[in-house]
Amino acid sequence: MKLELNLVDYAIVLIFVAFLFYVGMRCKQQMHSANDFFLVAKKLPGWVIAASLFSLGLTAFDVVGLSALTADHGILSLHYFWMGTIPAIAFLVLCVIPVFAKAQVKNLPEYLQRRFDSDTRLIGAYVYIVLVSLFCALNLFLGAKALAFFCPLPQLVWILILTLIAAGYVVLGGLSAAILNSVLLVSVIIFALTPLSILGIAHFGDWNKMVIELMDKAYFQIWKPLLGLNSMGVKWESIFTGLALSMSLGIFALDYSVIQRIQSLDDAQEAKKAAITAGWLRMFSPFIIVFPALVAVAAVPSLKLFDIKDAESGVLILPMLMGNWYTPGMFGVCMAAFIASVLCSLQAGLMVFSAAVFSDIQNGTGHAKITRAQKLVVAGAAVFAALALLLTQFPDAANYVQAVFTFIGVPLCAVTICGMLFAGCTSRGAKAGILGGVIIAMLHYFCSILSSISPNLIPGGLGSLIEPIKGQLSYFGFRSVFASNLSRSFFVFIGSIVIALLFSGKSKDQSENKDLNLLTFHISSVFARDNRMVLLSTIFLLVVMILLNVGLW
Amino acid sequence: MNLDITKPLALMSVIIGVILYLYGQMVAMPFAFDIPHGVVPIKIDQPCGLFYVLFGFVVWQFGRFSKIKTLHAGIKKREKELKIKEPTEKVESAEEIKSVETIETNETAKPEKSEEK
Repeated sequence: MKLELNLVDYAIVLIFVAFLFYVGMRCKQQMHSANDFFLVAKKLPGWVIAASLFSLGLTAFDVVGLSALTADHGILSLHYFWMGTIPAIAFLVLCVIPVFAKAQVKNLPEYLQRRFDSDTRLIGAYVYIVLVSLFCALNLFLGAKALAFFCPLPQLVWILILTLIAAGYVVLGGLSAAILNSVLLVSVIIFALTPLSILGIAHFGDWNKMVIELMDKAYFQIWKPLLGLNSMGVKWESIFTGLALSMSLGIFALDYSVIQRIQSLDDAQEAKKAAITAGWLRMFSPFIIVFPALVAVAAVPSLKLFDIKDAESGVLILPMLMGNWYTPGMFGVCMAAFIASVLCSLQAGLMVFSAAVFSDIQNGTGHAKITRAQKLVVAGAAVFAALALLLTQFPDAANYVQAVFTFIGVPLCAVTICGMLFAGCTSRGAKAGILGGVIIAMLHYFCSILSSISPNLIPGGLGSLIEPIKGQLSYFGFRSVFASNLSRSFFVFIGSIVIALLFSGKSKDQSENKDLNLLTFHISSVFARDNRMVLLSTIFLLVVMILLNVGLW
Repeated sequence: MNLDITKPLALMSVIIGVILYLYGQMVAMPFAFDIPHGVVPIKIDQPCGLFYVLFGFVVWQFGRFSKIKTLHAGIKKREKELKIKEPTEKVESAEEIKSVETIETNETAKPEKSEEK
């Protein structure tokens, strides 16, 4: 069965894209130099920054990927929204924003240069470029898959269309257009997904009816399944150590695009409020992502099944529900929403790619011609599209991207945090920490491969040698790639910090760093008089998150 | 930047909302939606279209309200910088009237002095 799209659906998509380009054109009028392109010319309202931060949590990975995860493992996917984000936002508000505001730092590589040296800045820039390219490619891949359900164009064509739209308005309006357009993207995604939740409530009547329909109580529990064997193959402690402590800090608190947006607000208090608002929005976003996916799984017997292979993997669970409950007109809004979810990550990625290459690798100045920055955006779009085409060959692409993050993203994040929290951490220690982290990640990966390999597959007499080692490596026998990634990220995070501190001797450059006081975190800033409301709001956010976790125990 | 994002957002919501509502009203056929005790015919485009139009109007008003608020804040800030008393405040004593007058004369006298120089 195929969806019957009408002219009205295409008209809605075109209107949406036209507005994105209109915002880009309006921002272009203020663009004169590279500085205008990479920085926001005028102070934006806090709510716009909050919406743009929230848009970073509404990417195709979240909308398509996490709804698929919900279809496979039930509400265990909520850990991504709560434990995977809220503690990181608390850290961002209480630690990262005060340090960046005090030191007047505009982005993460700049922080690494001032705190350590230019080599660390360069390493940071390359790491961010690799990570952002992979993440955007993954989003393009997932978004194109969902969009191909509505409009049967090949994935390749969708990847090109999406890349052209994002590159088009980012080239015109730079960071200003990316931030302002986030408001339009978020609104369209909410427009398309919220009616699904409301129809879901109307369809089942109440929550208990839905639970009965699914005949699986574990599907609606968030912690109990983690105490024993579960479909995700994750242990409860991994959620704390791997997801909340090590992975989420790199994904949200020390993300290049998050800092780019936060720093476009001059006032640190405004920035903190915007981050907390984004935290609240993120906390309740499962209502429009996870809940419709649950509804779809529960309602599947009564739905018309579409003849699609991917329906089993859950990637198309939301488009399938839309196909059943929506009619032409709303199909256009849905297409616009999936385009928006891809653009949420693409526009942020393009700005990170171009800014990192321009200011950190090419050492470009703010007075350079704007065309130089625009060319970098186009280059970034080409890289993302090429990588997305490559990822179409790997059905399990999300796990690979996550694994790459644990290899290079987590060590960099750990070293940045180490530099922020410990004044004694030097540039030599930072470099040793990053290198040590990568080596630990490789060792962890090797051990997990070794523990799962069958001795019969190993040639010669090596198989008998490996058998006793396998017994010693039973800890590394993970039940899923995700569990392995969580464990690796924790080992790498702690290992990088320990190595960075061990290798940080009292060196000359450290004593000469006059900014050290500005570039390190002081606990007194958390309890400062003007920070009390922020502190209370952050505690309240954390308490509500804990209560929600307890409620769905 | 002169762009106020609330205007494009409101306009986009209203246009999409009107298209959806009119399409739902004139062309779309109702579909049978299962509820716990039966089936109801639903034209999903109509309520969604109406909601978008309403959202657009609310956002437009919010944009106007925040613009007025920003303007007021700017005026207040400027008044504070120039040490001008708010017109709503009553000037009670003769001394206060004198002090306000001296501030105003100082403000106007400054450019004259510079011109003389």
